[in-house]
Amino acid sequence: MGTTTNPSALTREQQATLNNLRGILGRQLRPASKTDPTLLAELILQNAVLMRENGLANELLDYLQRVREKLDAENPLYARLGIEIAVTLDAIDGRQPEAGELFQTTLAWYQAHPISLAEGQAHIAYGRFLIHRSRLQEAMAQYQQALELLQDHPVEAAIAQSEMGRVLVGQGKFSEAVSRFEKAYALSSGDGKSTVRLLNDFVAALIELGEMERAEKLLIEGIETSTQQGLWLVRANLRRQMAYIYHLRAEKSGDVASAQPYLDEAERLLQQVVAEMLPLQNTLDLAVVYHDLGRIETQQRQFTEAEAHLRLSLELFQRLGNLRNEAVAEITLGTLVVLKNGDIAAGNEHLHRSLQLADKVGDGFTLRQAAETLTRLHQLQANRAKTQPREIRIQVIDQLSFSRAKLVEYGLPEAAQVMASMMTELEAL
Amino acid sequence: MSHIFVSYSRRNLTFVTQLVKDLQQAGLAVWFDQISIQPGDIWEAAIEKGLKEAIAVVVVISPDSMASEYVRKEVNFAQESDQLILPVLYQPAQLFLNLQTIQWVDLSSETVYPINLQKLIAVLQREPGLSGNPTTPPEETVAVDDTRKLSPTLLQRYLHVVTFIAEQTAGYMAWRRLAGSISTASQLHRGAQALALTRLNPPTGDRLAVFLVTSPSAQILHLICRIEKDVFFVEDEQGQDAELSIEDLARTLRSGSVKALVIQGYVSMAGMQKLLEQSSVQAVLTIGASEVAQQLFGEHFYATLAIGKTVQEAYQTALDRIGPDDTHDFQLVAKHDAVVLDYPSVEKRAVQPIIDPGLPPLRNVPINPDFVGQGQPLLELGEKLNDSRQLMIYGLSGIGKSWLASEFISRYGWRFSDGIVWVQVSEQTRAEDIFNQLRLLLELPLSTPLADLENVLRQRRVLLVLDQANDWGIGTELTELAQFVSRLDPLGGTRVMLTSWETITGLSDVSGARDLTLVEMQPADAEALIQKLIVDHDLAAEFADEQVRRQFIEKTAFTPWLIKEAMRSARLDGVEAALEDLETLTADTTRLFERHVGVQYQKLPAPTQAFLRQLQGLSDGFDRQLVQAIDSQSREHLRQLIQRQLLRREDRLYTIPPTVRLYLRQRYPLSEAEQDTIDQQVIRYWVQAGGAS
Repeated sequence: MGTTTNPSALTREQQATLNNLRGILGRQLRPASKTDPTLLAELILQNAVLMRENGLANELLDYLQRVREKLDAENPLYARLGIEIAVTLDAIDGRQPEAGELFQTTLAWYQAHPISLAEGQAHIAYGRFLIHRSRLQEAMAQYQQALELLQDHPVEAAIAQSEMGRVLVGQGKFSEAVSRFEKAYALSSGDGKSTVRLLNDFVAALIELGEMERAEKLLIEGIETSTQQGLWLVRANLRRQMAYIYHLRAEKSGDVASAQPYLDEAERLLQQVVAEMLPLQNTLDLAVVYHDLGRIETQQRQFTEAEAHLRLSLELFQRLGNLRNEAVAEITLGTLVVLKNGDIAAGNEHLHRSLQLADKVGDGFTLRQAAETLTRLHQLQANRAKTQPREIRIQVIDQLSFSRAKLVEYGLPEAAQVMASMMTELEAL
Repeated sequence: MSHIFVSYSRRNLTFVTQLVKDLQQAGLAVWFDQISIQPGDIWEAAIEKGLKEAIAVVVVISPDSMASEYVRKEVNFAQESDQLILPVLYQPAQLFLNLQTIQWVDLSSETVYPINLQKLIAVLQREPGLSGNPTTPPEETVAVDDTRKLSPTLLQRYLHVVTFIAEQTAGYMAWRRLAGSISTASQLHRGAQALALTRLNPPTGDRLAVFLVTSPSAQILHLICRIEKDVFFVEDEQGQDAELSIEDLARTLRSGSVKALVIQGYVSMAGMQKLLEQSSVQAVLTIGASEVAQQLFGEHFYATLAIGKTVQEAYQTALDRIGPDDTHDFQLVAKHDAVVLDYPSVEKRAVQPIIDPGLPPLRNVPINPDFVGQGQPLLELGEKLNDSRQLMIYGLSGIGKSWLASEFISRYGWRFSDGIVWVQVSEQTRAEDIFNQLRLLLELPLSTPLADLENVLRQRRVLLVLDQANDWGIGTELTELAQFVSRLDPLGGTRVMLTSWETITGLSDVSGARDLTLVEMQPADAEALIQKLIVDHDLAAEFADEQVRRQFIEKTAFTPWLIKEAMRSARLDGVEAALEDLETLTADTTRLFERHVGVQYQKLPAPTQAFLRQLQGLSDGFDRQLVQAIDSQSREHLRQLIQRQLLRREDRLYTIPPTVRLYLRQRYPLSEAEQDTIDQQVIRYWVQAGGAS
């Protein structure tokens, strides 16, 4: 289950600063103004991220374009502004093609006017643009070019390395990703904030490679650093990764008894993550943690607690309008109600809801998962019905028929076929 | 030089010397008269200099210091000079009233000293200008951002205290003190069971009854409300007084898991016994006396419970911590000799204390702790907001519009379950800023189209407050906002509240909008406010003459802002001068505020006047570092401007009040060249500092 992090709303202090900036730019970007445009350009560039992150891309674009008009095209700031304009266009619906063109024009300018730091940064920015378009190979080439240019700039080189690591994780190339993250980690050492920010992906790659001890060691360091730096959301997410490691250890344990201490530790860590997330303005991450907690509690057969957490997580997903995660939570809750009360009908309802949601958002993976779980529940139901009176069997056949029709509707013919077989079997009795 | 000034009584020198040593070891610069005054320095002048140059003032609380005129003057000076004040408790004492609204740090015993010292250091290190290496803070208290996110299951891992506060005029401060006690109590003993505190909103009898039935984790109910002759005054759904008898309360307490009832106030012994007999609670405590004693008792009572002791042991431990004069106000009755609460098993125990104020998410909402009176407009505001999508609060400057809006949120904010956004309007405000604040509140991506945002708002209960909407400078943006408001569903749960001193074309006439015109306070409310300020400003002697007091009240025209300002003038320039100023001002009440600004402005030294004129070149608020770039003498100017209320400070942000800005614009407008100079200074400062943000 994925998460996204919303930026926090502007504080009153930030809003005041932004208003002062607007006042100054409004006056000093007028044609008659005699203010040194390079100073204005620097000021806008320094505040570009704040403005973009706060949904003010259109306003930023206006400032960037107006100040660029005041500069000579041979001025290196002109090129930096070009890249920033391209990044900003990328954030505005329908303006992405212009962004691509501007990236290429500006990168061509750099070839004739080599400035390693700015050019390296430009390649990183273009790499990100390409990732947004899923052009991963081209993005990797851009990052590679950036690395060549950024040999004397470790902080920026670390960014390129870690972004390459993320692409590789997405491609399932975990060994190569780890190697990139190691380089990024080494390059950014000494800058606590940068190192902990790349840890989430670094640790995820290590876990995929089965390097649990190393991942755990990094997480311990990361949790300590994020506490010192006051990076509360980062810390909570790192602790959540730690819980995941314990959960995996439990799953790899041969038997229930040896899994129990790992599950206990995972649960304890997730409880702490919940407490850490409660003061943060991030309902989505919190809902995901409640969901994870409910899953672990289900495994521990703490059904009452599990149900409370799963229902709360579902409620939070609903409030956020996050249908994708709601669909996943419905599967978990469906399984729980069957385990808790043996209530297959209630379980089926949750799974049908999950199918409906997953279909609505076009999430094929969750759709198949819901179908699989629904099939298992129906199999359980059909097996039970075999020894039950005819009226009950007829009821089950009706339910199977309903599920089969829905599965056909959602484009899942194989699962529908399984339902049909079960119906035939029951009808034959 | 930037340092911390320590204000204390010489009789506590041993304690203070240790404290200073510990602060210095944390890398903090401390001005301490015992070491900072050089031979040959004139003592009083040196202290004055040390105090003036301080960024923060640590006030050591003890009966001796609270009786010291020097300490009182130092605290008053620090408050008026916009310095950070941090009271630390050495020995329990009755606090100066202007210290009572500030959370103190308890350093009164060896047990709490090391833990709370770290907290004090962490706060000081966050203050810009005070050097020091950051240290790891002790286990933080979790303050819940949105009450709907808290899982009842999670609370079973805590020693859960639930509080019910129906104190109409002092609810916020009562909550803050209790939350402080619970937070400290959780951390006093290593390995103690963490405490959770949740507040019930609205404070109605029904809410309490439902909560007790549905929440299996609450073990202690901490009740704060007005009590008269064993009758508890809670609220009804509309926020009006509602009575709850001992029998009603006992009946409510028959359901649920509450084992101990803590009542802040006086209940007769017979009443306490009746509660014990007729409910399922096993212990009833009443805690009275001063606020300091209440807080100290609370900290130690809850801390002792957190280590698994009986209610009786906790009561005795806490009683030993407060002065012998106060103990008779603290009573306990119990069903048996050793009332033990239920604790989760060790492996299930939570680590960090949790504090849940029982509110939806609030964004940038200011707090006005000294709200007095205005009960009727508050109720009217609630009623009008129920059936209109937009409500505009009109009234003259200084009449208390923002004050009323903020109090409305603190009392009735729970009605807007999806959250409240407060936007301080400035001439540069854009409609998009407001939409983005709403998107973020609802955790929608910032790219969410406006139409989709409006659809979501139709199904939600959100309150958007636009304070000082008359300041809006860009007409097209205003039109965009007005169109947005007119598209809100009048039957939906989302509401817009605005404050303004005049009608705003395009916005005031949005269909379905209502308004509320705020006039001066009721005489009784004005008198109550004046009485409170006399005590706060320590002016009892100056106002001892009943005739002077009466004259003063009448001349303030019952305007809250003017009352506050006149009281401040009385402190600065004497009561006689304040009365003279009032006489001049109230001769024409239509231009009251403007005239007041003029009077205060003329009292400033010329360089400070020039400094203020320059500040109007900034469109919105600013921090100290920014104005330092404009004028190196800014510190002294800021102090004077704040004293005269020509500048306001909230946390680290300084703002020019709108009427001051208007006055300056009309009388002393900046020339284009002057504005350019300021712009250049700010641009250079920002570029050098690495960005405006």
